[in-house]
Amino acid sequence: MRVLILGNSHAATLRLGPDAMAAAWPEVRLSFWGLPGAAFAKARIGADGRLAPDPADAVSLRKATTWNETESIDLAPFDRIFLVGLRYNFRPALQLMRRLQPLEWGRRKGALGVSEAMLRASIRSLIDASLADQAARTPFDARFVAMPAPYPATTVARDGPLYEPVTTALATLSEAPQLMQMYEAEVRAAHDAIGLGFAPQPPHSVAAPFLSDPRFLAQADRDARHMNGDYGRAAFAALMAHPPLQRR
Amino acid sequence: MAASPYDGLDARAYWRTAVASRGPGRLRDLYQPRFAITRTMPIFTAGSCFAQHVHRALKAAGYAVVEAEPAPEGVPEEVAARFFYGTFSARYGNIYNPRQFRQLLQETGGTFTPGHPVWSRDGRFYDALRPNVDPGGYGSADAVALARGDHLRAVAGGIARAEVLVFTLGLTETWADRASGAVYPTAPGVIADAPEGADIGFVSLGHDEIVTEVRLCLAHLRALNPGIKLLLTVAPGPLVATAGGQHVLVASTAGKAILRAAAETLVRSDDGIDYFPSYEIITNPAAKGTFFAQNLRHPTPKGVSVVMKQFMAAHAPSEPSAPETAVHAALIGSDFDDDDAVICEEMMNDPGLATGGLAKDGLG
Repeated sequence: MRVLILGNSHAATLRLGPDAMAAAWPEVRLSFWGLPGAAFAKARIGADGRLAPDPADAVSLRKATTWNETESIDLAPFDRIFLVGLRYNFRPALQLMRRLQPLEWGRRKGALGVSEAMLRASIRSLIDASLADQAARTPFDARFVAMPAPYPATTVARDGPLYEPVTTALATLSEAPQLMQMYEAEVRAAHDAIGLGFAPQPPHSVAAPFLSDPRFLAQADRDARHMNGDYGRAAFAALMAHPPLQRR
Repeated sequence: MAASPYDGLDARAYWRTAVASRGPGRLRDLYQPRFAITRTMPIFTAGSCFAQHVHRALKAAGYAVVEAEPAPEGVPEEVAARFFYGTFSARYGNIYNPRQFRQLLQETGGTFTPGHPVWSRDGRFYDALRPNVDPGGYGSADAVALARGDHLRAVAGGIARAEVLVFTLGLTETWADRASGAVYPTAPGVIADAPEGADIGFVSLGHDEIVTEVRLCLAHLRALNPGIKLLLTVAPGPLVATAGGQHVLVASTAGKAILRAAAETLVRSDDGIDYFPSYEIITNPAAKGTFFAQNLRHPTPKGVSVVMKQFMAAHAPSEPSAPETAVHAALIGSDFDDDDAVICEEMMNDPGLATGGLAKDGLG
C-alpha cells in the first residue's frame, strides 16, 4: 500500500522514526511531500495533475527541493493520503471563543453574550472556509484523511520566552473544556459534511484545553509547537487506524 | 372661458407625462422631501423585510446608519447576516407593524412587558418577539432572557442617538397575546410554539390603529429627541398568506391600502413625518410587473435599486454618492442572488415555501 504524508512542518514530524514505522506497517510504502506552512498554503495541483509549489515564490521553489525528493508530486499513485497540519483558521476561531460567551453557559466578564448556536456557526464557517481553500488547492477524494496541527504545548501558558497571551487567555478560561469540545465537534462535523476523513490529534498528547503535553515537543526550550518522533508515530498510527472512506 | 385648474401644471402632475410616457426607472420628482436627511444624521431603521434593503442601501451610500448591535468582530459575514447583525439598526428582526415597534420601545423603557416572551420547539427556546434572529434558538429560556436584556439595552442606546427613524410599514395582520396585548412577528407554530395555555389570536390592524401606534412611537422618540424625524415607507410586496379568510389578493390589497392611507394621514397631520414612495415605485403600472420577481411579490434588485436611487436623488443630489455598483451590490447581496438578500419569516406562513426553517425573501 502506498501512503503519502502531505502537509506542512507538522507533517514533517511524521517522518521521524521511519524504521519503527516500517516495522509496524511492513506493507506500507511511505512517501512524504511537504513545505513550510506559508509555502504549503500556496502549493496547488496544476494542470498537469501534479502538486507543486507556487512557481512565483522563490522560497517555495527552493524549499520544495530541499524538503522533498521531487519539486512536485503526482498524487495519483497513492492508496492513502494523510494531509497533516491543518489549522482550520484556528487563530480567528480562538479569538472568537475568547470574545464571545454562549449565554446558555451564563455570563463571562468581558465577553459578549451570544447564542451557542451563533458561536458554533461562526467557528464552523471559519473551519469550512479553511477546508474550502485547501480543497481548491488539493481536491479531496476518498483517499484523504486530514489531521490538525497539534495544539501548542502548555509552555505557552507559562512565563518565559514561549508565552502566548492570546492562547493562554483562552486556555485558562473556566469554560475552556466546553469550548474545546465545541471547537473539535465543529472540526469533525466540517470534515463529515464534505466526506473528508478526519483523525484528531492523539488524545494522550493533549494536556489541557487547547494545549499539548510538552513531553512531546521536539525542542521544548525553543519551540512550543513542533512535536517529536513519539508524537509523529502516534499521529501516524491514528491516521492508519482511520478506516479509508472508500478503497480505490 | 376660464382656465381649468388642471391647465398648465408641472409635467409631474399628469399621468401621461409623468408615468405613461416615461420608463419605469425614469420617474422624476416623485419624492420631494419635507426635511433633509444628510449623510451625517444618525438614521435608525426598522420595519418589515423591505426595510432590510433600505438599511443596506443607506449604509452603502455612506449615510450614518445607526448600528446599535454590530456583529462581533471576527464573526464571518454570512453568519452575521444569518443572525440578523447589520440588517437593521439593532437585532430586532422584522417589525411588521408599528404596534410591534411601539411595544419594543416601551419595553426598553420598562413600561411594557410582553406576555409569553419565550416560545419553544424541539427542546430549543426562542425569543417570541424576534424568533428568527437566532435561527435554531437557544438552549434555555434563561439564555433567551439574558439575550433579550442585552438587546433592549442596545435598542435604547441606539434609538437615543437617532435623528431620523426610517420605518417600513409591512403588514396589518398580526398575532397577539390577548392578556398583555403583545404582538408577535410570527404566528404560533411557524417557527416555535407558544406556551401551553397562552391565548394568542389573530388581529387585523385598521387604519386608525396604525395611525395611533405610529403616533405613540413618535411620542416615545420625541421624549428622547424632540427634533427626531420619521420617514415612513410601505413595503411593496403583497401578503404571502392571509389568515383572515379572504382571498389573499383581496386581503393584501386591503392591507396595503390601510398602510398607505395611514401613512398619508400621518404625513398630513405632522410636519415631522414624511412618506417615501417605495410602494408606488415598485407597483408602478409602467413597470408592468417587472419590478417583481417571478413569484409576483418579491421586488427585483432592479426595482429596489430604482427605489433607492430616487431616495438618493432627492436627499443628496449634489453630493458625491457611493458608486452605483456598490449600492446595487449592497441591495441585493454580493453575488446578486436576490434569494440571499433578505431574511423574511413571513415566507413561512406559506407551508409550500417554508422549507428548512429559514425563509428568505424580499418583502413584507
